[in-house]
Amino acid sequence: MSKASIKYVSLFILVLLCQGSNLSATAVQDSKINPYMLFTYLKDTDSRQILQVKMTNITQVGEVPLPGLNIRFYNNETLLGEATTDTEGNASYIIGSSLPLFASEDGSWPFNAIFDGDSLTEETSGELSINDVDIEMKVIEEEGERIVTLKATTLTGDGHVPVTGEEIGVYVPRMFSLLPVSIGMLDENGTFTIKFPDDIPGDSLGNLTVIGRFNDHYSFGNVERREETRWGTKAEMAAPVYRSLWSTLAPKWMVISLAVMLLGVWGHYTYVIINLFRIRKEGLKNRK
Amino acid sequence: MNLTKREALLSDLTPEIGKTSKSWYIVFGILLLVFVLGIYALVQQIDKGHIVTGMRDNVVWGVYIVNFIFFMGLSYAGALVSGTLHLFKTPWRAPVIRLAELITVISLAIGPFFIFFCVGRLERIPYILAFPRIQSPIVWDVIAILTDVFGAAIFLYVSFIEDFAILRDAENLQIAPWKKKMYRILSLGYQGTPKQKRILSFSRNVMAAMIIAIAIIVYSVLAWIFGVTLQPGWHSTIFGPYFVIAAVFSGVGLLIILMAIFRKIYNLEKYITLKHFVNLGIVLFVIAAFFGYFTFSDYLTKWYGSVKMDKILIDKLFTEFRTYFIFANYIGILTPIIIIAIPRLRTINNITIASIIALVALWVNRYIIIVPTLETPFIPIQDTRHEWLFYSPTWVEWSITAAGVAVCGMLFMIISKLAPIVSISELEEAAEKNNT
Repeated sequence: MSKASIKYVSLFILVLLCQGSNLSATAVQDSKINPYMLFTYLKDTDSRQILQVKMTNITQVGEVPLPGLNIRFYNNETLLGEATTDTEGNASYIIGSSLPLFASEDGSWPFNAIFDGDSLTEETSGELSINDVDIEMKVIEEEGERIVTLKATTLTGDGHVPVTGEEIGVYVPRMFSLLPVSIGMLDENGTFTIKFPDDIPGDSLGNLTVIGRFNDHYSFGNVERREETRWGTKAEMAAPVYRSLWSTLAPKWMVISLAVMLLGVWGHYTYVIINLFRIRKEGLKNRK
Repeated sequence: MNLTKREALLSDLTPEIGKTSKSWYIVFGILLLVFVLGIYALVQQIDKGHIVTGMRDNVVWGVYIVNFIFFMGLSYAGALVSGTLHLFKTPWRAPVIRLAELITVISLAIGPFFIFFCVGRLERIPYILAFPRIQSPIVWDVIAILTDVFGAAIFLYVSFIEDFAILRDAENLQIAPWKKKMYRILSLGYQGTPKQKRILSFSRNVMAAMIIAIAIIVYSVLAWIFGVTLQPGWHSTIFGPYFVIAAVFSGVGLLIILMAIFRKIYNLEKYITLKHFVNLGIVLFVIAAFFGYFTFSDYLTKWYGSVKMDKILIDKLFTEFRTYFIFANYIGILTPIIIIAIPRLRTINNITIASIIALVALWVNRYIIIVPTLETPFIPIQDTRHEWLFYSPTWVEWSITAAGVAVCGMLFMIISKLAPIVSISELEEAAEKNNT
């Protein structure tokens, strides 16, 4: 191969590699991320009031959580506190129970969540208007029937008054979200009663958490009560013993195919190695 | 065999066995420096972790896996070519078959190391042998590679026995006593008796047949690691044969390049002639056509199906990766086809250049199979920093890659000092056949 040929080929490959190695680097995002903020309110079973934010980037292939963003939470114009989004894009702030909250004329609390933006992400904000509400939940067994009763009240100038005509539900937690057991309207006494089914799987002991909840309510946000019960059916967690791709035992055809192939190949190897000893033996015999 | 002829063959084909030239030391020294740089890069990687590479949550496989597939492909191609040449008693095989056998073993000795460079927790590697799940394609691959390593080693050794015996008996060859002792042990007392010839010939035939079958199965298994994965661009039924064809394409290319190199530096013009280049060039032509057909078929069906993620992937290949794509799938395929198709262009230089382009194109082809797919996941990752989403190899990865290539060169050089690069026994056999 002539020197000129080597020179041209080397140059060609070098140019290609140099250009190629920059290719990925040129795929820089041209504009900032335009984030989506989901701002929600939760009053949990311990009556803690929690402001929650989930920051995501809506991309062509789905929602991507945005970690490390600093979110400030306000009640009207008063800064309550701040939090940074975690790897799931979530940030939350627990409002102290002793903190007096500003209420607007209709009695609702105005909340704001603000992200000021940074070098990669545009600024965004969200707002909520929440009316305070309390839920009481009773879980009882009467004559073999399991009853769940929810009662919702709100504090007015006349004291605690029942909440009527609003949608409320009974839920149980599952792996990815809450499973609604029953959803209905509160009656004139502010109560909602259901017979709890007896065929919902719990853990191995039958433990099951029952949740009474205003779920994503337009005025109350998320408000819930939880009770631990033994109302679940006992879950059998035995490992599968059948043969499949996903169990511990491989399908028989796979085991047999592999065994036959390996035996065939290694059998031939062994045969050839034995032949090498035969060659050596023959060599030794001739030498004598 | 006429003793004078044998002496002439020994003189021509063992230039580095008896003495070592200055240029050998210089080239070996340069390769050693590259290897040392690779070791330094590896130490950096082990010390600081994979953060020194371009691999992140999205692209967890990068240049290392590309190198792994590339070297394994070369190995299987070497096995297929040498096995086929031997089994079908191809008349012109004698000067090239040893190189093909060496490609098999040397590539196989280097390729699997790139898997280790990819693994963050190396101490967990033994678990794959201690707790294997045979449903896992990774376990198939480990079993297949181990089986292939043994098979290739036996095949190479069996093909070397006659040459070891010739070197043992070569009285005029000035070599170190330890080498004489080594040839005596490794030749297994072979004296070319009819019984020994029969046993050896049969063993070589058995191993040649086995090595062809194993090469096809093992490289298909490697392809299935991708093929059975539900990733855009990978989940393809033709990946097994596509990978095998690609392997043979790159392997034949490397064989032609090595022929050109050793022909030049060891003055083997008398043995490795234009005929060998043209014959292997025609093999390259046919394989390039098949490879082009498989490539077109794979991308056409994905593009026509318009599945969302496949569409995003193909858009990416034709925008961000277009230079790679055009080089790997147009220039790399068409260059050998054009050069071989036009008889006037069939010179040793042109065929070698076409092989170099084909070889580099095949490496790039592996790159665009792996990286764009990993940059297009079904479920987006949480971290949206640019370097987390897009892959760009670092100096550490390039240094380790260069070290792999350097080791390949060093192993060829070391072996050329221990045994002839062109099989003396094959040449003798060919000469005897010509005489009769």
